[in-house]
Amino acid sequence: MRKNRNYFLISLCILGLLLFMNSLLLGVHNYALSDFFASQSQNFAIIWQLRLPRVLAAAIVGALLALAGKLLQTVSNNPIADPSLLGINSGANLALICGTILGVPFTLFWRVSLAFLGAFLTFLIVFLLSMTRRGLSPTRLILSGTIFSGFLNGIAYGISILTKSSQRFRNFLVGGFSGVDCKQMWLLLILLLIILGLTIYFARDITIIGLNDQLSQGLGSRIVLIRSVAVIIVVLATSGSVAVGGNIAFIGLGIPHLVHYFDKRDFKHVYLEIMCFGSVFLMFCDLLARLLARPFELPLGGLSAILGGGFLIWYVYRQSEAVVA
Amino acid sequence: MTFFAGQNLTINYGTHTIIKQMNVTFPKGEVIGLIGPNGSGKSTLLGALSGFHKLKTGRVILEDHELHQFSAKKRAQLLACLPQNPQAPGDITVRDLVGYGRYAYQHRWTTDHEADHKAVQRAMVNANIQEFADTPIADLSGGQRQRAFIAMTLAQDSEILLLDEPTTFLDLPHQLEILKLVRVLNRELHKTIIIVLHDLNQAARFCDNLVCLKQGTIAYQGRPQDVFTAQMLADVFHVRAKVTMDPKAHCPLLLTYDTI
Ligand SMILES: Nc1ncnc2c1ncn2[C@@H]1O[C@H](COP(=O)(O)OP(=O)(O)OP(=O)(O)O)[C@@H](O)[C@H]1O
Ligand SMILES: [Mg+2]
Repeated sequence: MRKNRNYFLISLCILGLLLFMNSLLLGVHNYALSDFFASQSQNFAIIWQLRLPRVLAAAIVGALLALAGKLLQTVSNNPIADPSLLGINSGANLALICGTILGVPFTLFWRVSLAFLGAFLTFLIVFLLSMTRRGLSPTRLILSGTIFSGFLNGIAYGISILTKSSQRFRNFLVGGFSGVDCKQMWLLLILLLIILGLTIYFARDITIIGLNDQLSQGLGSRIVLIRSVAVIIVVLATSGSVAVGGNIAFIGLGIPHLVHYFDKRDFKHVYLEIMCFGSVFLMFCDLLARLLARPFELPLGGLSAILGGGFLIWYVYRQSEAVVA
Repeated sequence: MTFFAGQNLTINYGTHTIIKQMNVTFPKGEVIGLIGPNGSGKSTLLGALSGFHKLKTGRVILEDHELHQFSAKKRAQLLACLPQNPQAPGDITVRDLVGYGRYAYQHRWTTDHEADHKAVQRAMVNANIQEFADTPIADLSGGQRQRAFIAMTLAQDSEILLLDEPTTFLDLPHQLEILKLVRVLNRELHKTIIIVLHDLNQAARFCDNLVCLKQGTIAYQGRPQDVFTAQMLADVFHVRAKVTMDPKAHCPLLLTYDTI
């Protein structure tokens, strides 16, 4: 049993590497393997300076969003939780849109700071809305998040219509990695390291709070501390992802469920698999977005939602079959 | 020395006082039955004793220290608690669930896997669930599930066990199985066990000490022979009953009963 599961992680890694290489080489123009090393040619520069940041960003954002989804599902004991349900995406989005309209310079620094600010503010409000006398209620968290994010999306939509500027925000609203440069790539890499470190450090504690509160408290868990850590990881991962890639649907909700299909163990055993799967999935979508309608690009956010939705329908179908059989 | 006790406990839900200035002492090495009608505060008291519910006034004393002076993990090594409706993700196996009981002993980087493995194995054998070790808990029957959770608390290797209605949803043979397990754990592993029971005859037969709760206060406490009387049953449960002696188990037995 254990061997099989390791094979799953290893095959995901190999798949990821293959996809990574192919994503670097294929696109509007296809390059050959030898271009990787032809340091004088223009192709070399395109691969390493334009394609690498883009592909790496897709890989990292995929991993972060999938992890954020799984974390949220674990700590809220709710299998259909998704970071977008907490309004974090919408908050980051709205902050970006407002910032742009107010004339904040559109540099990486401002973009990321705005996204974090919006994400944290939104989360703070949603968090306060879901506090009860007995502490944070996971159900209320999801409910108030959903409602509040609808509210924020409405405002964002309204603003972009009023200012006739929806075209400029297309990238946030739809999601994609076309303009990603080296700075953003480094930002995501650092974020990934921080988040991976935190997750590895707290993996066992997070697994325990997947039980109900009284059980995990009795087992010796410091629920409030661990839940806060988990939520901080979720906010960091989501806002970083939105700042660079815009809104990308499905990953947080769908990838953990797909991995669950292959490996039903608890959080500490599956989070690496989930991150790898998220990477592979988003790199694949990004590659498709570039290849399917050459020389044009398809919107990545839409593509991942369609692909992911298809996957999910298949998954639910399989599940229901399993019940009948 | 005070082994395990609550002193001047007051517990509120919001502004609603559930337990009022309660003093209660639990004798070491005994099986203590917590009985009382629905809503009398049994689960609330257990939650307070395990450090889950915040106290409005008073303190819980464990081995001469206040409970909150222990770190969460140290406390879990001394005191294991199975709440009334335990829930866990259905896909994890019994072995993984029981393994959670070892959390309090696991250090971040240096974990003694061998000791954990042995403790998990022992807990599963003691709770008689080892044949389902690799079964997801969603696939177990109610009784097997309950035993899996009991095994999890056993893996905590604590001296004190708090069990909230571990026999609900079980049929009679399985109820007896759990109660006998409780007795074995007490007699052979010398655990002090505080158990909430609804079946009064079972409480009288399997407990060394009974604590009778009535509207958040302790109405009676003592040996079953002493407190399990028609008077107590009328007072706490509002039933008119005849109590005799069980000839075989030598404990009080509720014979006929009706509401007053
Ligand atoms: N989370 C809560 N919020 C508010 N009131 C509560 C809460 N939990 C319990 N209560 C109230 O506290 C009182 C005691 O409840 P408790 O669960 O301790 O009773 P119990 O003796 O365990 O009952 P049962 O035999 O039904 O399990 C009840 O009146 C109940 O309505
Ligand atoms: Mg109760």
